[in-house]
Amino acid sequence: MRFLQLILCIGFGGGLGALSREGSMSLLHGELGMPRYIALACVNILGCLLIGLVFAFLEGTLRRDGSSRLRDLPHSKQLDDHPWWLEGDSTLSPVELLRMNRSLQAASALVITGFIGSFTTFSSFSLLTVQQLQQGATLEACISVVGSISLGLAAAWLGVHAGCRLVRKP
Amino acid sequence: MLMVMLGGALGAGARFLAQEAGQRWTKLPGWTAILAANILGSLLMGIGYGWLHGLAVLESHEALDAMQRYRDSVSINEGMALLLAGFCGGLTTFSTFSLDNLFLVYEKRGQLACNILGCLLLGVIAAWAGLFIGGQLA
Repeated sequence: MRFLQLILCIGFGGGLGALSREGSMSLLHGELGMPRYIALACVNILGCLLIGLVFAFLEGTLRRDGSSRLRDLPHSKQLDDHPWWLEGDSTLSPVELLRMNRSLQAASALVITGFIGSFTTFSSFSLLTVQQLQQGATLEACISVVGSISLGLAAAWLGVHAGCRLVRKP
Repeated sequence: MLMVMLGGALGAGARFLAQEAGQRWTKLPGWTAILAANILGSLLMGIGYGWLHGLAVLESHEALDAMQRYRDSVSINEGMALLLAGFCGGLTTFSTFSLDNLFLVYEKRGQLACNILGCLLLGVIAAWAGLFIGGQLA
């Protein structure tokens, strides 16, 4: 039953994400006249920024049992003066923890796995790269690949950092 | 619009199932599920695109008196293309890929290189192979 709810959340978020991807692709590519690979890179990088932000925000506010992946990262220094896992926050009752865990699951299914995961895409990216290589536009293919990967990584870093800042602020 | 939404919902659900299955039944690290989903989605996208492209090329050679039939098939093909864009786009993801890479930067550098290079090379090869297969199918 729980699983079914999660799947429904993901499906709903995924539908919205795919729709907004097509919408923003047609806006950037069709209305503003950008080349297709730049429009796709813009969508992907925006999605990376959003996923970093939302991930850090959700982990910092809702995951308090100490199992967060942020815990081993330098970003968690942002959260140090605001105790956000169980050793520092033992006042929470188990019921509260369970409730937080449930809402974390639902929120990350809806927003992260569903919406943002479906908003960004890898298949169009590799198809476009193949087409560029076949047409002999090797320089553009290199720009697209290197730019997407490095800017996407930088955007995810920025998003995680900003998300941690956002949580710390009372 | 509905086709894109439907495809996106199905694709995102399939990606979630792949992630869960990878966690439950194998001991591989979490990013391999996303890697597999990305490569599979690239292959499907290539196959579908090559197939539809081949169909459109074939049909443009048909006689003009079958105009109505041609229009029908074009609208079906448009629906198929949108469904394909939604499904493959929902199945593959770039944002989770980047987030995984960000964690691997801090945790395990060797796996980071594997993830980025593997995803890029295999994704491009899969899309190319898919285009070839799709062209043969049509």
